[in-house]
Amino acid sequence: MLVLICLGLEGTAHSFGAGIVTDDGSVLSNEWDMLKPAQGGIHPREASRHHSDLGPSIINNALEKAGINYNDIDFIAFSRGPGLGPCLRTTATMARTLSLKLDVPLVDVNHCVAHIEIGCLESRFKDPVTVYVSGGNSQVIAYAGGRFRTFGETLDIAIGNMLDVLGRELGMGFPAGPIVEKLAKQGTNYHSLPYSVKGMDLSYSGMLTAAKKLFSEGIPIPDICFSVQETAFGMLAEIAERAIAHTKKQELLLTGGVARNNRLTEILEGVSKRHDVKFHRVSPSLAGDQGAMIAWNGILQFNAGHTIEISDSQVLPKWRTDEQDIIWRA
Amino acid sequence: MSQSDVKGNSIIEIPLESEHIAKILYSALLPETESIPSERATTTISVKGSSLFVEIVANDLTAMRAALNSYIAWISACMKTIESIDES
Repeated sequence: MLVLICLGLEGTAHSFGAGIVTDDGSVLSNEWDMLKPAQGGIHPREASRHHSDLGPSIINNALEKAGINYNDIDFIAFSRGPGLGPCLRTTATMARTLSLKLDVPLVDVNHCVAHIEIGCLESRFKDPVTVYVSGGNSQVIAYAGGRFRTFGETLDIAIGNMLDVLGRELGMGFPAGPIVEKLAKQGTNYHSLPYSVKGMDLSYSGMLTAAKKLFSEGIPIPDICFSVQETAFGMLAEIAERAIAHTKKQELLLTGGVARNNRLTEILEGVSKRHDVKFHRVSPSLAGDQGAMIAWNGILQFNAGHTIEISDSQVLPKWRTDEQDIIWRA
Repeated sequence: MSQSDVKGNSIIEIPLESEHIAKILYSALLPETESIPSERATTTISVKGSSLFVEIVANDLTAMRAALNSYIAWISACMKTIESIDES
């Protein structure tokens, strides 16, 4: 039986990825590289240069690992948004070139929706409440009325961004999340931090300021990490719990780069047990930003009859999760 | 010196292997000329024979340099991509 093969390009922020996936859901390869600035945060221009410099060789590596040739690719999918404008434009330009040169269709993918669907592919979940947490996003999402609806989200900075900025203040490298997690295990004293849940939304900027203040007061770093994790993850768990109670969905999915955190996983597992729903945490290789999720979402859309003309493929830096009609689930 | 004193116009000519390749780059870059993140620089592209022309009009030198860097990086990535396909 013939299978369709999709090459997916991811390049919304500091990572560039190329993934090759077949329409039966097999991930043939998933190559990526992440820009690690020597100091400070991610500069959009530097990140876009990273993508244009390394992108072509990452795509070649993905093909080599998959054991296929360019001519085996049936269509190209790319991350159209949301993300950093310069990074999106670089990735889109490469995707268009591939589509034109190989004379195959192009499919535009919403990065956040791709994080949900790769989790559904791996878990075989049909209709979960999704906790999507990363450096750029913190959302609790569920499918309703033809779209992935955002039930709750951060009102300011994303949880991964909060952890990275805090880590920088505390003298850690980038990304700081794994270091915060490691040190939090050594923390023993909980210090009160702003628990900012507003309706179904949450806020992390006040917590960041308060955690920095704890550091200036001489509180040991492991105690700060412990307090930040317990407070920040507790807020997410509360919203996820309310989303499950409201929607009555039977599955809870944890996806995005911060899904690699074991303490967050433990807390959400507790939520799933209390509500007697299935739980899945996306495996580390599919949790962060990578091309396989873009390719898989491209396949879902292609099979539902959606492609995009090159001339209409301008990037969408502010494309929200709930702004795309989910035609393959309709 | 006011910004208007350094208003500039740059044209880059990129000779390519064939008109077909020039047209691929043209089509891949065209959507970027239409989605302008700021009004400080405007870019138009065209193909003449097997050459791609990128014309940038900028209100100041900083915007000019930024636009030049962007288009050169994109063209470089696209050409490397095409070369990879041709070599495979």
